[in-house]
Amino acid sequence: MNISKTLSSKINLIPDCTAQLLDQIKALSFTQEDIFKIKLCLDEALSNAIVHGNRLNSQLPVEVSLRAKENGVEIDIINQGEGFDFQTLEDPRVEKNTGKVHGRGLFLIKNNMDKVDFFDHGRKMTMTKFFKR
Amino acid sequence: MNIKIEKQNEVLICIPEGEINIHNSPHLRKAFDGIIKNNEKKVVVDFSLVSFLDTSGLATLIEMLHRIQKIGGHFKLCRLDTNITKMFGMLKLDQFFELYETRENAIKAF
Repeated sequence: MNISKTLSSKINLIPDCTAQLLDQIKALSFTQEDIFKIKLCLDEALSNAIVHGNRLNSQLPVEVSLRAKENGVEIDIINQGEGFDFQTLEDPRVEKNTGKVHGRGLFLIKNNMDKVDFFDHGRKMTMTKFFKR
Repeated sequence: MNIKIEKQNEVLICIPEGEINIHNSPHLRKAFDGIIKNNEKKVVVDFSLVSFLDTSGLATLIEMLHRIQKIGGHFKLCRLDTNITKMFGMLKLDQFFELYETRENAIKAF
């Protein structure tokens, strides 16, 4: 299964896009807990791409592609923004950060997916979830 | 997203329903604006009808906790779904918010 979608940078499009991709993922051999995690990461990754990447410029597209593999699923999210320093991530769990309103999305993605890779200065993210053995 | 508001004695219970995400979390923020405007100081959010929460929803809850503390009030959450509870644990927000398994326990804790 390979699915590709392009959406304009409007936050009201995120829930439907996530739901459509999740319908395909539900047909694979993931546990309910892992489906929740993938949904959360898809939602966060699309939000980051639209809000921080494309800065809500509805003229700029976000590309999403999903590939079902023998051992799990791979999802690419690509935005057209300036990129970011993906190697520097503040830990939202430390005391000075727990009361902060923002800064948790990428941490959740990294800790709920099994593998997260960045390309093109962070404009492209590939996240992978493996089936549980 | 539907949001019901109930009152049990002096405690205001806010009951959102469905998913709380970047698209609809402003509705929850608006409900919280009304709660602050009415100077409610004992507030519980009952999550029993919430199936999904993302970081924009978390941001709305954190803002509300700060706002209610500023007016000398208290803010508690109850009946969170297992996956949402695990997310709070992963972020150590289970130490930042007061979480309860039942509404009764949340109310008793004021």
